[in-house]
Amino acid sequence: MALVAETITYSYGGGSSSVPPPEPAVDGFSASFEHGRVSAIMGPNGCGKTTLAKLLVGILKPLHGEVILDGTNLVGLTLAETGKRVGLVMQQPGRQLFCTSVKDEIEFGLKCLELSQEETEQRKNKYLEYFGLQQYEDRFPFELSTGEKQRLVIAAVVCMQPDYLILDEPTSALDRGRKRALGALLRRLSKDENTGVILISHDEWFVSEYADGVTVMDHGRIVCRKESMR
Amino acid sequence: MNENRAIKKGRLRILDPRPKLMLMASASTACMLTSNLWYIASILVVLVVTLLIGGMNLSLLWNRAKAIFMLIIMLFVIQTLFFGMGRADAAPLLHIGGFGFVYTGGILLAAMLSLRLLVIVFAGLILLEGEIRDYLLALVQMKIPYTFAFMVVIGLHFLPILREEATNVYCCMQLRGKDFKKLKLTGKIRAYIGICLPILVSALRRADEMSIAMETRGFRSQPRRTYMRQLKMRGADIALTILFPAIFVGLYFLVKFL
Repeated sequence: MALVAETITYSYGGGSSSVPPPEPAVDGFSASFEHGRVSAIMGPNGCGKTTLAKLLVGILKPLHGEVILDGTNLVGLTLAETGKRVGLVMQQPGRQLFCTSVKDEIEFGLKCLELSQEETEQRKNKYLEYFGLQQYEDRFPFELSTGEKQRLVIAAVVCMQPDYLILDEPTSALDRGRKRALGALLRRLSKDENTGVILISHDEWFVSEYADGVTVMDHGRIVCRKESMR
Repeated sequence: MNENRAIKKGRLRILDPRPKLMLMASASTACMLTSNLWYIASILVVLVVTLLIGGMNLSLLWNRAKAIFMLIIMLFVIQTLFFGMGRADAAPLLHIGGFGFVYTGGILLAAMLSLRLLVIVFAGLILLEGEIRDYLLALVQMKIPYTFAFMVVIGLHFLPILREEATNVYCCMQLRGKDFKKLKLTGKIRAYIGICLPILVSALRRADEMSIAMETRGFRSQPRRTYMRQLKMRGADIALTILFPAIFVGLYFLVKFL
């Protein structure tokens, strides 16, 4: 059981006979992201990492190839169905917030999962505390700082306890202490709860410290892969 | 890319910006000056015909304005259902559990507001058929102060970004488990309002940040600026600039006397 990308290719714009086709953002990418592992993806700006993240959750549909989620092709699933199993934390935290309070933001996904009131309350309190957000629970999310917004978005996605978790630059606005806390959480999720974590990052320290394996991309292709970091 | 090709082929693209600005201004002003349904509908027909003659294909049109069309449909339904509720002088067409819904006045008002919104949307779509820089130049050549012209143009420039942000929030909501296809109408309305909130906040915040960035980069530091390029109106451009408002005036009298 894994989240598998099979030679997926994606290009922004289709090309035509008179206009040459643009260079694909993701070009024949193949990888298998397994449960219980933290897999990192690295590469220079514009190499297709964010596009890959969007392909892996089904926001974008690959032009060629397919994404298989535990044996099911993503094409047959709605975004809501995929989202309950694959969590995505996007690069810009401010663009993923849409509720009027911090606690509503965390409860949103839990209510969609139709959990009991007790379970919802328990998970909400647990993650508010873990990410140091309990004092802001009634605040308007857009009033928070970038780092606080980033922690809130991660908390809102992680609390849904997805089978796979994709984090796009999750440490860009975090201080060293928060990075360590996030790294420890990712490690615990992968080892104790068997979550497959896909970590897209430029942070070499964070990747070397917390990832089990790393894939390096350039121009939409894999240029190198290291299965074990230890 | 295909979309770009479709735009490049369009006749509206090669038109001077001024007839397009005149069309937009005269259509949106005309639809606001009257509440006659037939007149507003005829303005809408003129705009649709102009877009089609101008070379925009219908599927492209639908893709660009799909979300706004859905919003207009929802506004129509809400207005129709609830306008006039509790008014003693209006007779409801529908009774549910002792409450009256759907009034003739509500249907007419909803139709008028929806048509007006459609006119504004279609007029805006005509403006999308052109380069933003050309509109700025056209407004300045029409003696509009550069500061105001720049503000109008920057507003237009950010429309696609706002659309992208709305799509982003829509995807995020779905990824957190909200299945829009399974939602009832009231749930859908609540969810769409939820999408509007972050867009509004981000637009206000961006405006604030942009004004600071512009000031720090010397915006308005010179009293007057010059331009390398000058737009020149051809005969057809001048004719259309006069023709568009003339059509709307003509239609007004035609509808009035029919």
